[in-house]
Parts: sequence; C-alpha cells; structure tokens
Amino acid sequence: MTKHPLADEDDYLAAEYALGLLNSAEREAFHGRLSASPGLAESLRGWDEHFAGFSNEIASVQPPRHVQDKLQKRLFGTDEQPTGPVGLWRSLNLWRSFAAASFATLLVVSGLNLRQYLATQDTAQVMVADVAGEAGGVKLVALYDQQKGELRLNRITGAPQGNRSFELWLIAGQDAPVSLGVLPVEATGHFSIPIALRSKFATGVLAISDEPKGGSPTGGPTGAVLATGKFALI
Amino acid sequence: MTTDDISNLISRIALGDRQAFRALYAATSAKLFGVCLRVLKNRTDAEDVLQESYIKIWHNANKYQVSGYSPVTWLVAIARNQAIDRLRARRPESLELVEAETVADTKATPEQLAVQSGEAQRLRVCLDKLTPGRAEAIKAAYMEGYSYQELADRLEQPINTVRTWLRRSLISLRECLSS
Repeated sequence: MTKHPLADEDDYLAAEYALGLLNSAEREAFHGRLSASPGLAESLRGWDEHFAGFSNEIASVQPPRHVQDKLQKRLFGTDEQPTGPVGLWRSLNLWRSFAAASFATLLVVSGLNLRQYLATQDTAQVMVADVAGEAGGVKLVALYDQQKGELRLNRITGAPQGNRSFELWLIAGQDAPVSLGVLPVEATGHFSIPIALRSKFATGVLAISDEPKGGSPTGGPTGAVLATGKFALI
Repeated sequence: MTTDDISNLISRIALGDRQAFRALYAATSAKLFGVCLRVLKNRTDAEDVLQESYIKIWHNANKYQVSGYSPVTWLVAIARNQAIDRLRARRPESLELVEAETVADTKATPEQLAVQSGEAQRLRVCLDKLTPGRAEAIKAAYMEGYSYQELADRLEQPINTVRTWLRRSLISLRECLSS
C-alpha cells in the first residue's frame, strides 16, 4: 500500500481535512466534493472516529449562560428556559461538576437518568416512546403530540427487506391491534392519528410488525412483531 | 448519560423535539465549548462558534443516523470544523491579539486520560509507532487547528517538506489503524 500512496489520495486528503491542516480554499473544495462522494464521506468518518481520541484530552469548559439564551432565541424565537427542577439542578452546580470531569467519565460514571430528567419537564402535551425489539434489530423513537394528534417517528436501526414493509400498530388494553399505517421508506415519518384513537395513546403500546409490501392484507398483524414500546410523558 | 442516550436525543432532535435539544445542550455543551476554545483560544469567538455549532446540530440532526458516526464524534466534528473554518477566516492582523489572550487551562486531568475509549488507545498505540516528532505534529494539528502553513512556520521547515512527511505518517497510521 505504501508503494502506491496516490491511489489513496482522497483518503489522505480526508485525514488532512479531519486534522484541520487544509487552508480555506482547500477546505472549501473538499467540502464541495463531500456530498457527491459517499466514499470520501466514509473515509472522513473513519478518520474523524480515529482522531476523536485526541478530544478526550481536551478539558470540558462550561459555556456562559448567555450562549444558550441566544441560541434559544435564534432557533425558537424565545429565550424562555424551563424553570423549576432545571433551575434547581443549575444551583446544585451539577453541570459545572460534570464539566470538571471528563465527558468520558460522565458517560461511564454518572448514570444520569435521562427519563427522570425529562419527566421533570413541563411539556404535558408530548409523549415519547422508544420502540425496540429484543434482538435490537429494529429501533425507533416516537413522539406523540396529544394536542395535535400527530405522531412523528424516527427509525434508528433496521429496514424491511425489499419485498416487505414495516407496519405500525397501536395495541390498547385488550383491543385488537389497530394499524396506524406502513412506515415510510425514509427514516422519519409523520402520522396523523384518528380522533377516536387519540385517547388510547397514553396507555397503549406501539408495535412494529414485518408485513408483505404495502402492509398487512388482513387488517391485523400477520408477520413477526419486531419491536414494541410504551409512551411516557416528557 | 450514555452514548445511546445521546444518540437517542439526536434522533429526537431530528423530529424537532426542543426538550431533547435542551437536554443535549446540557449534556454536551461543556465538551464542545472546550474543543472550540482549544482551537480558537478566544472566548468570544468560541462562544459564537459554539452557538453556530448547535444551530447546525439542530438543522442537521436528520443526517446523523445515516452518517454512521458515533454520536459524540459527530458532535465534536461539527464543533471542530466550525472552529477551524472560523480560525482560517480570521484576518491575519487579528492573530497577534488573539494569541495574546489567555484562556482557561485546557489540559485534561490524569483521571480524564485514564478513561479512554478503545479507539483512543488504538490511536495512541499507532501514533507511538511513528517516526519521533511526527505524532506530536499530528496531535498539534488536531489540538490547535494548525494548518500546513502554520505547522511549517512553527517547525521552521518548508511547507512541502512538512506535507510530504506528514502524508507519509498518515499512510503508516492508516495501515496501523486498519490492521
């Protein structure tokens, strides 16, 4: 390989970009090629993952509060921050102490319970579900907005085989599963939930089944149930 | 918070979930701010770039899953690239002023270094196998955001010479990392 370094020209260019060695013009040119070249993007990802080890040696520094305020304002047109528990957390200097520890330590040691944190947030209208299978082959997150009756999905892993489709079901209590529709080919999708079903979301279970292309021919699940999940308020 | 939790938050951000965005910011902004500061060595610029980075994260979250990146690497790469773009865009005359400014000590503690991922250890092992001095140059390029020109200036070597041996080092590194 060393004898033919030019054959790997792009791979080393990706490494130089990842390290930050290129000048403005070279960076711009590289960037321009990136979206059109999956091979180059993959090479860059590899180098980024390798060099990420260096970033462990950089100490975390808590940014000043006004950065987040400005960010909220720019993105959402409001600098409103969640109050109550979050304010308390801040006063406990929790994040500051996390910042002093390395991020890696934080990941390993803190055992921070995300659910618990989210449960303290005051968005009574939105519920979240992690829909996952035991084998881990199919996994998605679902957000349900009770006010709008809108379900948004983001598939994290798993895709149906060419001649199959994933179908989404709501199982409420002892009722037969009700189809919510076939998952789109794309990772994310929106479903508008019929009014009659909306009240059942809070207690229902979401399930994904493997079906013939286009969805179950019978109206009920016919294939394997690949993943299930229950909603919780966030 | 585990890397899975962070991955999950990014997936929710792709759906426009603002709570997830706040949670991600709370959990990761100190790490990313550290990265920006290290490259830019100027708090005002680092704050700006941190803000730009999270705006990018909000808008590009839907690209994260297909990218195949591990979540923290994806976040760090966004912040670092924004920081380097800012660094390169700086007017040369402002450099001295910027370099004169002192920033917080950005050295990690021994405890931090002890907790390293397998990937990080592999990188270190492979860097150790390079010709003396080369690993330090590669690391300096990453940590300080040096361009080839800056590296050449600091090492007092012609840029093409630096480019040649650094490339050679990357080739050795690639072979070691993929073996």
